[in-house]
Amino acid sequence: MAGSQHPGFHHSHCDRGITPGVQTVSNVEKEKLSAQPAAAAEAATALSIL
Amino acid sequence: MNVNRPYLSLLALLTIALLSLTSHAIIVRHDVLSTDYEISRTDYPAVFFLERQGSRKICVATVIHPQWALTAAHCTEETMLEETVQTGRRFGVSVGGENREIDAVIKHPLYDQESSSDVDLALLRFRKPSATPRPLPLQQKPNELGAVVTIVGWGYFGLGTLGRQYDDGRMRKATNRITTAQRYLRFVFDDPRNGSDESLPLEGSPSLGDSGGPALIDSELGPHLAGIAVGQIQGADYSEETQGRYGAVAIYERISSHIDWIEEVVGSEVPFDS
Repeated sequence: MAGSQHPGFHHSHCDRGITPGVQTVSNVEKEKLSAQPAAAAEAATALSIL
Repeated sequence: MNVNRPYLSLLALLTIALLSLTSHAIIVRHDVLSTDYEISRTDYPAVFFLERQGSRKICVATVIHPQWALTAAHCTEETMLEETVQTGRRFGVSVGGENREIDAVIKHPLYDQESSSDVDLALLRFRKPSATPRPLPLQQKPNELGAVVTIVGWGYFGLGTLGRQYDDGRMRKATNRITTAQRYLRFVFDDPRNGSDESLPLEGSPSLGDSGGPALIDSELGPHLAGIAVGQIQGADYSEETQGRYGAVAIYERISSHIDWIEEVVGSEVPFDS
C-alpha cells in the first residue's frame, strides 16, 4: 500500500517497528474469515458506505 | 412594492420552516419527537467527530486507550486525516473538550473495499496519551446477538418513513437490537406501524456521516464498544435518496472479532483501562 511508504501512516506491519510477526496477526485474521463460510458470504453483500 | 409582499412573506415562512426542519439530526422514528434523540458531547466524551465540513461533521471515532481511538478505515480517506498524516503533519481533533493531535493511522491489514474479506477498521494514534476522557472498554465476548446497542453520531437526520433528509451536524443517539452477529453486526430499522413490538422506543438507524461511529452495549460496568459503523446493506429497495428508512439493515464491524489485531497494534492486552 502506498500509505505505508509515508511517515506517520502505516498498515499494522509498519507500526512501532513491528516486524514480520505482525503478519501473523494478518494471517490469523484471514484464517478466521476463511473458517466462516457464512461470514464470507455475508461479506460479499453489497454495502453502501455511510 | 406591495406586489412583492406575499412573496417575501412566503420566503420568510419557507426559511423558518427550513430552519426548523434542519434543527434535528439522525434517522429516527417518525412517531417520536426528534429532540428525544439529541444528546450532548458530554454524554459520550470518548466519542468525537473527525472533521467539520461547513455545518456537517464527517465520520466518528471512539477513544479506546489513553493514546488510541478506533474508527472505520474508509473514514481516513473521506476526511483529510490520511492526507494530513501521510505528509508528516498532525491531524487536530477535539476530544472530550480538549484539542488533541493524531499522528499515526494504522489500517487493518485486510482493509480493501474491493475485497469480500474487507475489514473496515483503523486505529488512530494520538501524539500524546491522556487520562481523559476515560477510554471506552471493548466488547470481548462474542455474545452480541440480541443485545440492544446504542449508536452515536453526527450524521444526516431523517425520518424512518422517508430516509435521510438533512444534515445539521447535531449529535444524537438511537438504539436498536442486534439481529445478526457473524462476520458483521447487523440490525434492522423496524417500522413501528407493523404492529410488532420489535421497534424500540428510541429506535434509529445510522446515516451518511455516521461512519466510524460506535455501537455500544450497556453493562453493569457501563457501555462497551461492540461495533463500528461502516455501511448499510444495498437491498432490493435501496436507493441513495431514501437511505436509512424503515427496513434499512445497518452494518457494523464486529469488535469482538478483532481484539487480537487491536492488542497487537496498541501493544498491550485488553482491557486497556484497568
